[in-house]
Amino acid sequence: MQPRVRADRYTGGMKVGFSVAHHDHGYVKRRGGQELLAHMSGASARAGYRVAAIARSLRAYEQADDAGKPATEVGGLALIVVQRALLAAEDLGGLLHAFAGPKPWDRLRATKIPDLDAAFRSVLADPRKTLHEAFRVPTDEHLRDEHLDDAGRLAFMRLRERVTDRWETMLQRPARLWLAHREVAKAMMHGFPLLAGEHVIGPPGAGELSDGMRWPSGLFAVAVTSSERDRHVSVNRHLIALDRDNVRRFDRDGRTAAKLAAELCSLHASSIMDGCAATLSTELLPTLSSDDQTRIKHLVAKPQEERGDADRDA
Amino acid sequence: MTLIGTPDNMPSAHQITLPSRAFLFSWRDQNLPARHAALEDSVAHYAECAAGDEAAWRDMALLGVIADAMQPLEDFAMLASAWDSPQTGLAHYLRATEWTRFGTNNFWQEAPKWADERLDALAGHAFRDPVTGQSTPMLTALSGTEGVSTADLSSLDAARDATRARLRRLLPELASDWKRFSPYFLAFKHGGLTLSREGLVIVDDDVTEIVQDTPTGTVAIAVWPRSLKRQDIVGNIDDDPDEFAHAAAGSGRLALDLVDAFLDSRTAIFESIELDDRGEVRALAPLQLPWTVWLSDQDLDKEHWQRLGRGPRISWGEDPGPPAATDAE
Repeated sequence: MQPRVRADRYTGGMKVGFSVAHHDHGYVKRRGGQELLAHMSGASARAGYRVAAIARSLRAYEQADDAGKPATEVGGLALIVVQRALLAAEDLGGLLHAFAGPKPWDRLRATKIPDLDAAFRSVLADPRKTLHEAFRVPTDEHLRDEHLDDAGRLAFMRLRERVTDRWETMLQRPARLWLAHREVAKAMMHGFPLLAGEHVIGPPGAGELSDGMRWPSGLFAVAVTSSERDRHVSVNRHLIALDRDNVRRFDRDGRTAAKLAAELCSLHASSIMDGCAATLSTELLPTLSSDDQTRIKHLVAKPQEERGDADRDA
Repeated sequence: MTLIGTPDNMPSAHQITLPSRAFLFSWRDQNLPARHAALEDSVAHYAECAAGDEAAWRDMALLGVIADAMQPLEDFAMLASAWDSPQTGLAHYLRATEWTRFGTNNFWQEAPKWADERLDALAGHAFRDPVTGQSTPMLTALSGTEGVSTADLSSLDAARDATRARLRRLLPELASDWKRFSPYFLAFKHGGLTLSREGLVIVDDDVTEIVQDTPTGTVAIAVWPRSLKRQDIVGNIDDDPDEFAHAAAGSGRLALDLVDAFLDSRTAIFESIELDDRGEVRALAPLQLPWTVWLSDQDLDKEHWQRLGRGPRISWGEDPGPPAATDAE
């Protein structure tokens, strides 16, 4: 027991407790605590919701576009796709930030925009580092510790390569989405200072806000954000193209982010429950040779004590 | 009702008029419909999830409704603050592009206590000098009230008073909703920090140990607050989730109505300015001051509605001279 529930209205407080089906609560605590474990366990529904919300907004945008609705209205619907995709990217970025250091639960709850920026920059600069840090991909040392024969170890290494290649590709999409358009995320969440392309182009245009701007031929919007220091106001303009190809890309990248966030959480939850220091998804097993598949299936089916103790955290 | 006004010195088209026009028209044509669409979609999504049996999915959908409902409250706070306290010498819209950490919280704490003159400026019934805080009634500034009939003046005053009363009623309601719902809004947008129901047990505050027959409760929704200083979970243990979603959506729709009225009150002036391709003023069309856009039917007597309609109409003249007409529309 447990944080108290602070009732938001009317009544007094209640408490919450978590029942964790794990024999070693100390281990759960060392891996981030029961709160983190509970949060990881609920990831699939969160991601499912994010994916569905993005898909709904894409549908609304395309229907409005097909129906010939006014460009400003269609652009507004496109921005909802962008916003929902960026929310999914933020979920993922928060997790990457959380798992890049100690006390992941505290880090997750206190993630700030510079943390997200750093996490996604790190993905683009060194994706393998992120994969080992956050996705708990087994290292060569982990595989050696499993006391596998050479053929088995090489099979696992090939599976690891497939898995990391896939994750690496997937990770780059939300990272690029976030780093390219985080100004839009912030603007849409805080007052919606976004100009419709039609009012930027004019005539008569947006005056100094249109100055020097090169805009695309299709739909677009411009996020205008400003900051004031010592009575000097700096204005930042960020253009985002909202044509179909781009909006579908936002949709794809947002869904990828949600799916990755769910996979990441699922990995952590299962590795905590199983007491494993590293994990490797077998989702891509069918892409390996039949010999490798057979070897890995056989090794996975073996009881853990026969393979040696992988959990060096416990 | 028609009045005759005198155009004051027009501000810089390039720095003030055109950016402000583009900002407000974008809000009217792009952002407001988008906010409406997002909220209604989230409400529909929630209804679908609530009909299913996946509680965790429903929790997220409920937070989605709350988030799309709270965004208009933040929008309204930023728009209203920008026109209430613009940066000195700069276009008013610029302040609405600057996010400050406690800006929205401060607005919702303070706006319900604003003086009448400040509410008049918010409603577009008065100009407020951002430096001195001095208010000038809009009609005085634009056309003067000389020659306006007593009946017309009485209707204008009645609409202004009714607007003040409505804002005095609605702003505290929304302020309370902002306080109530914003932890959920924050949890949704920053990581989806909803409390997982897996293995979760809710018990009375005085329970120290959970045994088999310990009475357990339910929670409509609960989230982890963003602040690490506050370890308590924020949850709603009084409403059922549908009621909670309904309350949030209602608050969001009300805020959208206020944003709509605010935009009406600010875009009217731009509708009356005919600009050439370079943004220079070519002609001034009559301006209908959107005097009653904050009101609903029951807020004003029928007689006043008949006299005012949407608001008084101002025709521009080179020479102010005596007002030409004050007929009802």
